[in-house]
Amino acid sequence: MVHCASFPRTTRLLLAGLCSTLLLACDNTTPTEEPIFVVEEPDPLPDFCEGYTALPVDRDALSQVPPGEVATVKLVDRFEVEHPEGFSEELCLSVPDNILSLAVTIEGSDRLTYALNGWQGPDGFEIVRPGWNTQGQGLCSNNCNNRIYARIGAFAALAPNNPASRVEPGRHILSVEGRYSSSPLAAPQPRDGSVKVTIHARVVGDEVPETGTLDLNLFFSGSDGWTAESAPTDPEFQQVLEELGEIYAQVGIEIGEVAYLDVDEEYQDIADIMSGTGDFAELLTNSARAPLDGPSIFFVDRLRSIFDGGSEGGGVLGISGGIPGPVHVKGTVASGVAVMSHQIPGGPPVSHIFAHELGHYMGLFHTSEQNLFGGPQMHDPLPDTPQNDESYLMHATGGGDILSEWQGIVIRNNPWVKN
Amino acid sequence: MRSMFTSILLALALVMGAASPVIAQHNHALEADANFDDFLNTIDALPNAEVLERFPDAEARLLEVATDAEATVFRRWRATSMLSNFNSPEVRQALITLTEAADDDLRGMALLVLGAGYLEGGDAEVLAAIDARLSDEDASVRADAVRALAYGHGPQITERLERIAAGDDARQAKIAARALAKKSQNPQ
Repeated sequence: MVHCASFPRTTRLLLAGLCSTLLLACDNTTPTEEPIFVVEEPDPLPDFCEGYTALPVDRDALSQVPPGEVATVKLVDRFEVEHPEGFSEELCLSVPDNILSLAVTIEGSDRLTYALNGWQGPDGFEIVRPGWNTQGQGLCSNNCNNRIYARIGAFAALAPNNPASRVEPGRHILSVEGRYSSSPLAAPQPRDGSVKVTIHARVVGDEVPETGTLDLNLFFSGSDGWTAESAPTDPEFQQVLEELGEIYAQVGIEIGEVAYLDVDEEYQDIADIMSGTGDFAELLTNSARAPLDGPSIFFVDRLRSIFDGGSEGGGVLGISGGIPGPVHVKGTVASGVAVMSHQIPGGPPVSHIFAHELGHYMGLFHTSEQNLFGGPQMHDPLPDTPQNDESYLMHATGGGDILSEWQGIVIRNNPWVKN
Repeated sequence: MRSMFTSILLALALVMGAASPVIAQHNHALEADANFDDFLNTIDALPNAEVLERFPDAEARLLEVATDAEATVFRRWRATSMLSNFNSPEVRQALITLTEAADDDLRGMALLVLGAGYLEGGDAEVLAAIDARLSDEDASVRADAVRALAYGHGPQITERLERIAAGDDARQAKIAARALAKKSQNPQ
């Protein structure tokens, strides 16, 4: 079990999905999503990756994308990678000319915390600085062109996620790291193991799309009377969904198909949102049943951490399986978000919590973190999100409903978004 | 470990503070108060050991908010939940009182924290507070009372859970049955 406390203080301050980041396990047996195009053949240009471990990519698959259209392509499908002594070999990937964005998802053990150890684009551009996580701090923020956050069990990275980052055509080199923490207070140390690496690309035609559609899989535990049967006609829930749609419509995202499913009533009370083997992790693995190609959202009654007399006890209104969460990979311990199904008086409405946690899952960080340690306050890497402005959806208080233009770009870069 | 950028900013802040140490210290205290206050309003963050270390009076601050009838229910609920990081007679008493709060979310959270931290083998006063809420008017609070009970151990707890598992409240019965099953798998 790894806690947020495993990481140094600047990292631990990062809230939201942050602590959720350290969530748990998966056994690599869960099914993955089938996007529009699936790559099956090895890279036809092995010399391109000479000196590196070539990821099996068929660039011809990209040519199947109709000219001028936007599409999601599965470049790498659960390729097994060893990470002896914590670090994999450098992996090589050929990125096509019409690339818009890339999402890397890593599935591993529920005992280890994963991240990219480095990610270099053409011409040596460091998307993620090699060796950034030497102290096991878990968050690469200001010292990485593309902010990433480590997570237990399953990890995802989306690039670009801010103006300083870019994904260009050509050869990309990346590596994976896995770490283990022997106790909640110990910094995670490199550890042997293997993971499955999946990479999705958003490719475009002549124009970058300014709109998109996001399908959602909604799971109900029966909290507040919401079930898969009642929610589609429940006026209160439909109001929540409508408000969510209005928030995301600001950045050209339309909520598309919505699937309604039930989970066991046992999940009404999520008592362990922190550990690698707790009920939150277990809840998210229910996403394996999600029928639509979209994120999974779970509505529950209580979200809290273990009250074990240690630190990090407390209740939250929502939590995400990552920033971003696994992309087109369901069934892992990180594949989804959980949201309390009723508003606590004086707190933000359910629709805002829903939209906020979904924002994390799609790749958005808090616009401003609460600065409990003093010193410099941490903000997101986007240029158009005012600092400490609570009217913005992704402020840590979750009370606002504004999304900025750049936040829209990040969301639309996520391969979960369809066009 | 701080990033280089963070270190630079911190160094700048220290330099600026050194230029006017009295003012800097004063502002620091105000900012710390504001930061702690703001932290209660966050929706998806929890305190960790270093946060609590930075605020040695965190327990008193949280107690004050949790029992402040003028504060919003949300802030009181957050503060109550974070009281789980402390174990003291003051917290115990506050939680017992909060199990009778007017708001059901507050009662529910107080029960969960109380059960997890203070019930153990059946502390009589804590057990009485939980027992009283087994018939709460709110179904979620009734469910939380069973969950709180399940944190305890010993014959008194088992007897109560068995009775609830065989009772008429289906939701409570399921929670009690699950708790009993877990206890049989992992006996104390």
